[in-house]
Amino acid sequence: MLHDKICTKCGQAAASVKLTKLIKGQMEVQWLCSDCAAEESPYQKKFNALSVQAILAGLLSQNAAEAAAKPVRPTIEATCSACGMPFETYRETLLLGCSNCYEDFEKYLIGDLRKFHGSTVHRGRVPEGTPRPIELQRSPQELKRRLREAVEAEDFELAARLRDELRRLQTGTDEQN
Amino acid sequence: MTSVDPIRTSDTWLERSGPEEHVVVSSRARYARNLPGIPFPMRARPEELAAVTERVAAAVAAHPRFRDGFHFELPGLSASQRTYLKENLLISPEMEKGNEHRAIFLTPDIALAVMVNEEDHLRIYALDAGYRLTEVLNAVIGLESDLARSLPFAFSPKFGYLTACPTNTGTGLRASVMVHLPGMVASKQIAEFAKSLPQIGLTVRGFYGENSEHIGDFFQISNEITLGKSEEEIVQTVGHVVEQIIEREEHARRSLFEKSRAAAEDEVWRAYGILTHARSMSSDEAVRLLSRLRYGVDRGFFPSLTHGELNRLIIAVQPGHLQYGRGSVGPAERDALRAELLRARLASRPTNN
Repeated sequence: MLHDKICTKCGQAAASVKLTKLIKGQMEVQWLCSDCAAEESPYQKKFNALSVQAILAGLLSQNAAEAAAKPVRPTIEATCSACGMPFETYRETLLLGCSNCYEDFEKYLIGDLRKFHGSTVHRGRVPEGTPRPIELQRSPQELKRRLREAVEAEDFELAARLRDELRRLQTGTDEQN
Repeated sequence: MTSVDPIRTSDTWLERSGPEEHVVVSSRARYARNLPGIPFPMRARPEELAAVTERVAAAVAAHPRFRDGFHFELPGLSASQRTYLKENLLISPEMEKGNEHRAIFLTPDIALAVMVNEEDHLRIYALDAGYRLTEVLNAVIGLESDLARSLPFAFSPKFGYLTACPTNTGTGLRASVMVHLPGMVASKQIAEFAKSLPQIGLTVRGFYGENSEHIGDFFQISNEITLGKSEEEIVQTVGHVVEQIIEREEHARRSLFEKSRAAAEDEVWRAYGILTHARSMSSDEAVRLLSRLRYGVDRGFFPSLTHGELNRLIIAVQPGHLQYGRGSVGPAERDALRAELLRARLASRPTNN
């Protein structure tokens, strides 16, 4: 830990973050405590991985430069009907208020989700008993292939999950017939 | 219950042996989950947070793996206890602050954990020593499925499991591996490697995860993207990179010795000399020197020293560990304690010169 360094901004707290900025082509390094670091860049908390990479790479990538500069966007007046959090608060903190925010703010969040994940559609596990949307269901052929691979790799837990999914698909088809 | 301090018992998981432990210290899989109808922790009122803790505690208490396990309510732990747990990689730097209504549940073997009211209502973990990504994924899926029988998790078919930060939504899975790369750092390959990761949705972080610098050549490789990929795809991507890293690190370490064997050996033995004789040492220096010993352990210079022991020693020299149970200790005294610990653990070891 950087226990021996003191924050160069407030001069009081111990520094725990090394913030590297690219200003007019020059690298500027500051040792900051977590409060001052959060002030320096509102994206510091969420894009900390980029600042480590920046140090390691010796330069800031395009994304980090974009993140450090606060983007200019029109104010969105929406509030969540369940928890009352204004959308603008999410803009500042990058944290939503409750699970209902995803519903009320859906059209505003899609852009951020696509930018970060490159996708806006869930393809992972679903709660027990929840059917997958039809377009996301894997084909029986693909499931069989992956089941075979899992068995070969002796990953029997994965094989069991795939077998269950295959069974669900087949039962569904039987019911339709 | 024994009279052993439960906080200290959390040390033992680090000494477990694991595959590829000469490069991979540990593997971890984490699920983020939230209860519907209650605001996320940052926005919830104290009574709402208390309700979450109560419900999760009940679900965990009913789980056989957690019987005789550990249950820490963070506000009830002292600052030094929380620092100790953080240094053992069991709570995040964020959790170390110990705000009200935060808790952590651990199985007795420290293989599974549930953290309550950090950024999300629940953070569910499986961890293990060495490179065991598939195993920890299966373990965390198993635990999540078990808990899902008594706890509803906020989910939308479109966005998956809903999390406080949209960067975690979807699977809510973070698969991460902690690696030790002294060879790649010495041969300056880290920057190039770090740059290549974002393109495949991965990231590299320092020793303690968020907001930390890389200490002693330790890095955490994990996925950033959680939406649009299945759990298996995520683990496959991380695993693929880890396997490449292991090869590159082994190669880098070998090259160091091949190119200038005398100089490389000298570094190891100097490190050993200082570690076994110094009377005062900062944690930065200790971790740096212990990193050098890694090469020595690889090459059999210290037959009785295992990689697992080395990993544990690197944690044991952190300030929280040295300070634990001693009340207030100034930096100079801590540096002396550190040197004493290192001499005790490393001196009089059989060596192959």
